[in-house]
Amino acid sequence: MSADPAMTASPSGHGRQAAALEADSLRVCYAGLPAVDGVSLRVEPGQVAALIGETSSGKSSLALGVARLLPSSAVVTGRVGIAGTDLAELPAREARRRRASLVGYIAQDAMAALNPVIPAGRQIAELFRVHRGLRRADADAQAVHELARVRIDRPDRVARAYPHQLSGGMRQRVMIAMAMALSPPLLIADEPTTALDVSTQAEILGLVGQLQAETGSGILWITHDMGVVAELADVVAVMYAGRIVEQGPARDVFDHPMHPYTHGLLRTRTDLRTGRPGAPLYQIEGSPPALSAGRVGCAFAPRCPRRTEICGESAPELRTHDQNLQAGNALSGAGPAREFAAAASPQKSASAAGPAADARRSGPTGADLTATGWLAACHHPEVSS
Amino acid sequence: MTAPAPDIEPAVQAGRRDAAPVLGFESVSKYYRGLAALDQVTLSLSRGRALGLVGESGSGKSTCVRLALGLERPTSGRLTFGGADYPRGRRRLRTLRSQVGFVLQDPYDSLDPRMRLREIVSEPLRAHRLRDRDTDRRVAEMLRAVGLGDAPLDSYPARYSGGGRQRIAIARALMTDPAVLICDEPTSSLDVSVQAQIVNLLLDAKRSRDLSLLFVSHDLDLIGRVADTLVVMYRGRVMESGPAELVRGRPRHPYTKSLHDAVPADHPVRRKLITPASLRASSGHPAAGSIAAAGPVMPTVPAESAVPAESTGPDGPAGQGGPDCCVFASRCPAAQARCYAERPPTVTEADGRSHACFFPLAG
Repeated sequence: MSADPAMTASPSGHGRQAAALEADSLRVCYAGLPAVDGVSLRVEPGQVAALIGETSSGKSSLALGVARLLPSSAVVTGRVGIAGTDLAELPAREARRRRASLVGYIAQDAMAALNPVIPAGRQIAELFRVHRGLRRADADAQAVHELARVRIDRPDRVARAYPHQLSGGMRQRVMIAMAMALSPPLLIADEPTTALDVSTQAEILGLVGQLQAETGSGILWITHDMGVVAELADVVAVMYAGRIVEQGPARDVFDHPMHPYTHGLLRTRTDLRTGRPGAPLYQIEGSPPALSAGRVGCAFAPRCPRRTEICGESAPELRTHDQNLQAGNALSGAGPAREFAAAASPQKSASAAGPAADARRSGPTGADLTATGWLAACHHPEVSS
Repeated sequence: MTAPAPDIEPAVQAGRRDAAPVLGFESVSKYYRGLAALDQVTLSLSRGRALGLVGESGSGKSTCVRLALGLERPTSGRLTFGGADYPRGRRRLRTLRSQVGFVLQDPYDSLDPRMRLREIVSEPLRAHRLRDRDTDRRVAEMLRAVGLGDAPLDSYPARYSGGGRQRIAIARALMTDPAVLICDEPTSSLDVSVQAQIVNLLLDAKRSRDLSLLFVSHDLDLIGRVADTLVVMYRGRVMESGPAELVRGRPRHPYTKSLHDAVPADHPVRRKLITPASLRASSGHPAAGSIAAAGPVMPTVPAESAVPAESTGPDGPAGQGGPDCCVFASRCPAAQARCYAERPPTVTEADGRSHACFFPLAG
C-alpha cells in the first residue's frame, strides 16, 4: 500500500502526478475561534494517511474543510488541491458537480449518512445517473456491481434493502461502495469503524486494505485509535488543538515518537496491552483544550511532562529534528521503511515556512525528502540516542 | 449448560472472601418476545473483586446490567445479592439499589444539564432519604475524592469535559457507599488520553472502598487490565470464563480467540488484519462476491451474522432454552457437525477456567 517513490521524486510539483490531496495553510474558524489552525498536508495517490486526534483537535473540521462541505458559518482559508483541483475556486454549481468525482466521504455514522427511505442500491445508483448520465436500469445494475466490489454476499438483495434493515458493518460497506463508486482520487474516512464491533472493524479494515490496493486512491483516514493507524497507515499526522504536532512515516513514528503527546498516546496503548491486571494504567494528565483564539505557547504544554518556560511563551514550529532522523534511518534501514519515508511528503505548516520549506524548494533528492518527511512541533522533542 | 457452573473465581481466592458472592447470577435467562437475550448465564462477583463482561453488540452484556440494577427481572434463573434472592417489590428493591452504584457509557447523556453539581451528586442520598445538613460537605469531599476538588457545587455539567463529567457520575455512584459498582463501558465515549484517568479512578475506588466492580466492555485489552475474572459472552451465552490473565492470554474458546485476533496490531510491522497474503488472495478478483475470500488472517464472518442476537434466538417458545447447538458454530473455524446438533455443556477446569465448547483450543 505504499506509494511508488518515483511519484514523489520531484517535490516541486512539475512532471509528476498531482497529489491526491494537497492542503496548504488550511484554517477553519467558527465564530472567530480556530478549529483548524494552519494545517498543511499531502496525501499521495495510493497512500493511506492517518490523521490522529481527539475531541476539538480539529480533525473532522479539517476533513470537511478539505471536501468543502462545511456550512457557510465556518470561515475556511488556505488552499486545498484534490488531484490538482481546488473546489473553492469553482463556482458553487460546478463544485457540487465535480465533488463526487474528486472525493469520496465515509462518515462514522452510516445510519445518519444514508437516506433512510431509499434502498441502498438506489442511493448508489443515483451517483451514476447524476454524474455519469446512466439510465435507471443501467445505474441500478452498476450499483449492484459496486456492492459486490465491497465483498457483499448477494449484492442484489442488499441493493433492495433499506439502511435500517442492514447491520452496522453492512451499512458501512454500503457507505464505502458509495464513496468509491465514481473512483475518486481521494477518499476521506472519518472514524468509520469507531462505532463497530471489533470483529466487524477487522473486516472493514481488511476490506479497505484490499480496495486500496486495487484502486490506488489516496486515503485520509481520521481516527483516534492507534491500532487502526498501525494496521492501515503509511504516514501519520497527529493533530492537537487545531495543529499538526507530529507527522511522518508510520513505522518511524511508532518506533520513536518525537512529540510528548504522540509518545503518550502510544504508551497508553502499550501499557493497556502489556500491563499487569489491576495495576494502575499509564495516564496522560489533563484533558484536551477547548477552542481558543490567541493561544500563546504550545497547546499541549499544560499536560506535558517535558514542558519548560519556553513552552508557555512561544508555539513550536513543525520542523525536522536531525538526531532522530539519523536514528530512524539507522533503525529502519533501506527497506520498506525507507520507502515509507520517501512517500511521506515534504510539508510546511503555516507557522513553519522556515528551514523545512527551504529544504523542500532546494533539493529533490531522496535524502532531502526523507529529511523533511518526519516533523514534530515541539521545543523538547524526544530524540533517540 | 447441563449443570450450573460452579463459582468461577479461582479456588485460591476462597480464603480471602465471604462465602457468598456479592452479586450472583444462577442460570439466568431473559427473553424478549420469546427470544433469548440471556440464555442460562451464571456469574459470580466476589467482594472486592472485579468481574469483566466482554462481548460484542447483541452479546447480552447490557441485559446483564439491567438485571443487576434491578430494572428488569429475569425470565428464569436466580439473581442473588449477598447470598439472598433479589428482592421483589419497589421498596425493597430501593434498599438494594443504594448498594449498587452505576456508571454508564455516555456522561453527556447520564447527567441532567439543568441540575447543579450539588444536586447531581447528592441525588442518590435524596432518593434514599439520606440527605441531611452535612450533605454539602459530603458532596465536596466526594468530588475531591474523584479529582474535582475545586469544582464549585453550584456549577452545571456543561462546564466540564467528558472526563470531568464521568468523574461527576462516579462521585454520584459512590455517594451511598455501595458494595457493588456497575460500570457499563465507562470510558468508550471518552478521549483516548482521558480514558486511563477514569479507569485508574475506578481501580482506586475499588481498592480503597473494598468495592466490587462489574465492568462491562467490548475492549479486550482494557477489560483484561481491570478485571480479575473475565466472562466472554456471545449472543446471550457465556462462551468462556475464568481468571482474566488466562482467558485473555490463552483462550480456550474459539470465540475468545477470534475476539483477540480482531484487535488491531500495536505496530505497523506487526499488521495482522491487512497483510500481503490477504491482499494477494483477492487481487485479480476485484468483484469476487464472498467476504470469506478476503484472506486467511481476517476473521471471516458471513454477512448475515452481524445482526443482533434477538433475531437469532431460540425457535421454541419462551422458557424452553436456546437452540440446541452452539450459537457460535456458524462463525467458528473449528465447528463440526456436533456443534450444530448439540448445545456444548459448560466444562470447568482445574485452573478455574470454564468454557462451553466441544473442541476447545489447547490454551
